[in-house]
Amino acid sequence: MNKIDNLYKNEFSNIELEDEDSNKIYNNIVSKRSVHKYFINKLFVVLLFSIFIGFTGIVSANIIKDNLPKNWFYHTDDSIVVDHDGVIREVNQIDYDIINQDYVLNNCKSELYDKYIDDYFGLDNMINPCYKEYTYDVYEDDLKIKLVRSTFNKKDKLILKEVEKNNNRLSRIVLYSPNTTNIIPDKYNKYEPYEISSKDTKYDLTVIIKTPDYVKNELTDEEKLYFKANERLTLDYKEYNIKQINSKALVYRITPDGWRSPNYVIEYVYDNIFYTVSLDFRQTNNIDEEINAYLDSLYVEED
Amino acid sequence: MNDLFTKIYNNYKNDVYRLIYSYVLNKEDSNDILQKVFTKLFININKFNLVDNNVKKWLFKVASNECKNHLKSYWISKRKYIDDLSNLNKIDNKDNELINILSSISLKYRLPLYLYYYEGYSIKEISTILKISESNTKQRLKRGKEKLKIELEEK
Repeated sequence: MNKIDNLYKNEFSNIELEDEDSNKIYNNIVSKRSVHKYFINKLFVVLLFSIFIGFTGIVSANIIKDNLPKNWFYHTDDSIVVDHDGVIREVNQIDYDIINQDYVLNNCKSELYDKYIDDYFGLDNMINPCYKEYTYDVYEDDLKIKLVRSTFNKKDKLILKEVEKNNNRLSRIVLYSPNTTNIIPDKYNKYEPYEISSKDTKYDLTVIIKTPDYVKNELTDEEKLYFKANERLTLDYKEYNIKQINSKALVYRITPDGWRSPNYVIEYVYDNIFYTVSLDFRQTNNIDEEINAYLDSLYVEED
Repeated sequence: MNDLFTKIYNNYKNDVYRLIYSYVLNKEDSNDILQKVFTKLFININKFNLVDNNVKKWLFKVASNECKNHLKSYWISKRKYIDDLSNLNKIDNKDNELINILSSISLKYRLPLYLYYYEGYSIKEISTILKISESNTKQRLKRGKEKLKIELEEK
């Protein structure tokens, strides 16, 4: 080991920086030439790194976007078409002015709808779809209705809100997704055909949807039991108050209209017509009392 | 500031140069790296409370990092010597038995061996300068010595 030791001492002690090189290096540093070069190099590295990060960000965003389900509504200008039998079909980025019912029927496959519902509602609790708001176009026969906003309730229904009809704003429309079976029997979800009209009331009754006769006439005993008067269910964030007012009027659901909304949606059938009303309870202290007052107002003396 | 820098530069330029040379084993690269090391000192000279002994260790630490960075850089790693120049290099070093041997042993053993044999640093100090663990330093020294010994026996 002494040999190595000696070799190091002998050979490296002869190695020295030459004076010429030493002066050159010293002058480079003191004149700040090398300092500038050092900072320029740093800047160049930072610039390259930024370009790299930016580039990978764009690529990643595109990869994520490409891998999202096509009917995931990351485009706010995506559109949904609801045709007259309540089936919702998706059309991406359609031109509001040129689309017509034929286009919808000819170009929109029902599978799209199925896939949409599966994808959306299949997410279960992963997201709360209640406050997703999108712009959709809705066409019903020859009426041109634009849905400005919509709200998805958890699993059981699709509420489409704030409707424009021939450029006049209707405040509210409620449509059910056809695969709703957990609360309301499936057959009641197919409203065909329906008409939409606006009606001024102090409770902002905005939409009337005609339903088939079986809503009233074909209730089974089990369903009657299900809708028995004053039954109160609490399911997740919703409360249901089902009430038989008289033979003409059956209130079968009262739902808070979204988690944070002050509105309650009351859905009822009266004289063979399905009604939906959204009541704003911001001005009242007693919601139950207000709802009961409204329900009482529906009571009509039977002949 | 310049006075202090000049003093440090004159005191330690050869020590740092030797350390760098023991790693890269050529004059041109050693000069380049030396300039980088002292440029960093020039930039940071007001930031640290540099006491004599600390300065040297700090310079060695920076130098060892710069050596590694230098050899890792794209331009250097892709560089190939022209045969003739490579031979010249060998001729230059023909009297330097140890340096010729060092060129044939792995880079990672060169700095620990230099710091141990020439600078006389302890294993703990070497591990601090090279930012490696003490056991790793021991292992590198042991293997480096073995390789040197074998090479020397073969000569």
